[in-house]
Amino acid sequence: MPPFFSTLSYVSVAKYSSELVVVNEFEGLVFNCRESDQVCRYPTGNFYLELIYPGADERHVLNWAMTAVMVAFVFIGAAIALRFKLKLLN
Amino acid sequence: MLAYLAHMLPTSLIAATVFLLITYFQLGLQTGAAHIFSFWGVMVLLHIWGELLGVLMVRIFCLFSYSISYFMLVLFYYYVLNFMSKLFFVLAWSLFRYEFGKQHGIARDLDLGDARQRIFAERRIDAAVL
Repeated sequence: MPPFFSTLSYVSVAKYSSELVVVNEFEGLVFNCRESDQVCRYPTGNFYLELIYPGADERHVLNWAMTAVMVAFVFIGAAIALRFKLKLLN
Repeated sequence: MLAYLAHMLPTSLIAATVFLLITYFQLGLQTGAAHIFSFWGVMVLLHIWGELLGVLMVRIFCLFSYSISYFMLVLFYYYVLNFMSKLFFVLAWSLFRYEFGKQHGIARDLDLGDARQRIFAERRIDAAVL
């Protein structure tokens, strides 16, 4: 994808909420790998978090706040749309 | 708007709770009150976000069919996709060219181009000597 689309993700609610859910699931986990068979790819949950969302476990407050801000934006938009009727189609 | 929110909030809380009860323990996520409550909070916020976005879209595009039946909604999507399919195709094709044309261009310039130029240069030298 062009890099322009990746900067659009900072406006998305899914970025922050998915970070919250994944950090909620994976932080503090310890995976018991078998030593004989293979190399342990993900020994702990925090290691996996550092791979896919680097620094996400220090962004609890920011993620909750950004999710709430997205809800507030949509609330304001819905209030405006209920107050004034736009007619784009029909 | 506040009246709508007051009517909508209990429904979204119940819906998020039902979703959590169905999915959370089936997926085998981490047990513990703090984890479950955090997950529930995220689900409630996302449910409210989607509900309000639906209100906004219904109000902007005046989709009365959205509020009465799913059948009319499916008809509307069919109608829209007939229009938009060519646009989607052009967008997907341009993204494909952007992704893979770049690599192909780099490979052609580095390998084939230099080799060809070298061969032509050697031939030119040979021709000049001869």
